[in-house]
Amino acid sequence: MNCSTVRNRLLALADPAAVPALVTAHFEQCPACQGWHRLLVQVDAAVAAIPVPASDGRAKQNVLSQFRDEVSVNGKPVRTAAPKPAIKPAAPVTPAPERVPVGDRLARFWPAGVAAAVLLVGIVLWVSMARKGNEEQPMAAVPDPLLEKVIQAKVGLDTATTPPARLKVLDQLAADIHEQAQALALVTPGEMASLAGMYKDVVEGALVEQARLLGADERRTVLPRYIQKLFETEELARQKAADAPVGSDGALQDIARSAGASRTELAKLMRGA
Amino acid sequence: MTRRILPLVVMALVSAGVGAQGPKSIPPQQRGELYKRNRPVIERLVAKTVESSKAPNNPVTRAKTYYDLLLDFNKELRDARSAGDDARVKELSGHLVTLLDRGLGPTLKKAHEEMGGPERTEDENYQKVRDDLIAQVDALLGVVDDPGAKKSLDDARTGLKQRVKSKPKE
Repeated sequence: MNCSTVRNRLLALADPAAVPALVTAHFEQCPACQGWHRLLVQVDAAVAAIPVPASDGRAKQNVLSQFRDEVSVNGKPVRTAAPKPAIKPAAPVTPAPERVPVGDRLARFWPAGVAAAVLLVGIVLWVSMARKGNEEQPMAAVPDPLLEKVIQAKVGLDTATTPPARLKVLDQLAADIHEQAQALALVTPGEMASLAGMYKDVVEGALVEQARLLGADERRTVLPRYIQKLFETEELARQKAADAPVGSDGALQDIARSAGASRTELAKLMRGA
Repeated sequence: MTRRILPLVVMALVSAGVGAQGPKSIPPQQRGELYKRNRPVIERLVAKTVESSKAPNNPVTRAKTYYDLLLDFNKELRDARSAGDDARVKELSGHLVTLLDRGLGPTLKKAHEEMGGPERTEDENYQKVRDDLIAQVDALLGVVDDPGAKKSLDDARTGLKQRVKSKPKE
């Protein structure tokens, strides 16, 4: 610690007589600072001992009037004798509890800082490598999720033994096709008509027909959730169509129309029409 | 103490979060490319699923829907092999196993059970379906190298030959 730091720290103390241990250590090697400190303690005590001169209160009132609108109720300031402050004897220099500076305290956590830096670098590298890997992954190495889903739908439907089970498979297949249409709407408008056609075949050609095989009680219990899902698909497809490029917008509108028409049919079946 | 442990806890949580991440999603552009390539097979699969849904009580008709699918897989597997695209061959072979083991197999079993029943009116139809499917399975056996797919094809062939009952002579 150099002299300048020591003196600044002494000036920042509320009570200059209570000196931190680090400063005391400096005093042992620096008589100049020791003398400077002694003088500081005397000045501090002397300032406190200066008597307040008698006043008619006008000056005080002037000062106060700058901070508030009303000074007193009757306009006459009350004159009070300022208490004479007792002269504070110069306290002996006693080491105060050690105050570790913020910088020193932070420096203790350097292992955590190193760990955080390594973690940050690791995350950045991992993200960039993952992105690079995604870009460079050859198409052949990536299995097509939609192909897998339609395979599952085919075997699921052929092994389903009841109309509700078949409805479930067809509903999932329709949802998968719609999800694909939502994903591809902005990138491959040329493929959207194919997806819209398949969606129509599944909901209008299969799902509604399968619903006709349900009994009256089954229709009331099973169909509401499919009506709700078709309604949601209709809404989502219309919303996406509003932002989609030419080619995709029409296909999405077709999907919305198919969902709406099938929803209406299911509602009729539920009502027993 | 808490301040010293906190960074370790945060690191552990981040590691756990990264480790728990699911499979990477495929970017839309790549999905589009995949769809372009698989579109004929996907369209056929969806069409045949719709066709199957219209014959809930007729396993023979449902079994028949596999003929075109096997034909498509035959073509796609040949193309992939010619192009040296091993990953695609593997993917298609896996799907073929699913179709045979979980789709065609149980459907044929059901058809066989119904053939053994009192109504035998579909015997001729079934014979034709069976012969066509056996021809396709044989063709696929010449294309696939994957041991799992070969086994599934063998099983399907055995099932087709064993499960059918000969038409009673009048």
